[in-house]
Amino acid sequence: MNKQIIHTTVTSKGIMIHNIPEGIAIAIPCLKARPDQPWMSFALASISGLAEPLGAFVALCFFKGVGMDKSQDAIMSLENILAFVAGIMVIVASLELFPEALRNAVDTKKFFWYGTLSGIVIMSLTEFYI
Amino acid sequence: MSSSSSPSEWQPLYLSSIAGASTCIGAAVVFCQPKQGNKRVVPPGMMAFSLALAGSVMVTVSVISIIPECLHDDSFGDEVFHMIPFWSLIMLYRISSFTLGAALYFGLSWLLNVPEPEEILQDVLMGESKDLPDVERIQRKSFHNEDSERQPFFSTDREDEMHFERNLEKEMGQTSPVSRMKKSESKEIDHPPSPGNNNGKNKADNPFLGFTAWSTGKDLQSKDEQKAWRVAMLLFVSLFVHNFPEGLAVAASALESTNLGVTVTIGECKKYEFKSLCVTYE
Repeated sequence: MNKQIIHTTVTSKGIMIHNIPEGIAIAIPCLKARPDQPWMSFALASISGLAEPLGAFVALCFFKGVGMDKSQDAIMSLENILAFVAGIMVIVASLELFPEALRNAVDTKKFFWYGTLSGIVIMSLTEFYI
Repeated sequence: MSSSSSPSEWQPLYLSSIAGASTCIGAAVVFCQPKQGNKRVVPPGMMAFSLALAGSVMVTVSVISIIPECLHDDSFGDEVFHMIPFWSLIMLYRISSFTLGAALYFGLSWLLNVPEPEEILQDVLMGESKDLPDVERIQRKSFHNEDSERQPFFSTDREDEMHFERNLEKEMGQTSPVSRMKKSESKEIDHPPSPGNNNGKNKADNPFLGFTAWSTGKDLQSKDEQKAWRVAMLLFVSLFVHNFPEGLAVAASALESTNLGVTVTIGECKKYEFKSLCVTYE
């Protein structure tokens, strides 16, 4: 049981670190759009973080009795859900985020490159070392 | 399989709550932005940084973690990466799921771009855009005045017509439906409604319309704000969708380990594999 807790803790630590840039990413454009409502930007970013315990709760409630369907060819397999998530993330990043970031980096591109490199470094470190 | 509820069974929920709460740490950056009056100013550099950060986080996670995991064939049972056959049902599932994710983006994008009929009318009346240079706006306005059927509403003939209507009303002592309609139109022309005011009126009439305008950013004044809001909404939805399976993976891995301990049916190798799925993904 200890092993299980350690394993889940390690997984959660990784998620914890990479959720921080996610919070920044949602809150800043939101504040830019509504500069007089910083609390709303904060709340919106926090709600997206709440999806995490919601997912855990759903898994604990619905898969506890039946067990997770681990067969790769099942339609509702975890891999298919992940592929769906990858689809939306790659498209949103390439069609919305990077062009908009470049549009905002009018004077100098250095902030664009700082952001891009920070994301790659943080994600790679959490991926390979935690 | 243990069906009784013990504190450790809910451990993944606590841990994923803490992990989810770390989003608040990132979000707290809004309170570090410089203040001007009651507004916080986001410098373009900060905006570029955060959007590039979000984009690279998403692409890196997808490329180095999620996609390899989705394409890994579990049937070999070892740690080496084996790609699933290209011409197989599993690959079709993966590609379809990926495409569905992309389609969700286009759906959202379409939803966030739908102009409201009032806005189209307002654009026509106002010369399409406040952002255009004055000369071009005036040219466009005159173009609309000449060509559209609303031309008389802007002309001096129209004023004469209204004057005539008012005199007629004085004489008749009542307001005709036609003049009432024309009056409302002229009021609209004299004081074109701003998007914010318009939205406020909608909100009072129908809260759902108010929420729709808020969520699509139609109540915002400038194009820049609307663009930023569109990006914020897209990010919110995509990261919400991204966080959900994260929590699912944390709990599923914990459940997997519990099942392992109780039913002793899954081998150590399989356990490592599933564990690596979750750790690698995160």
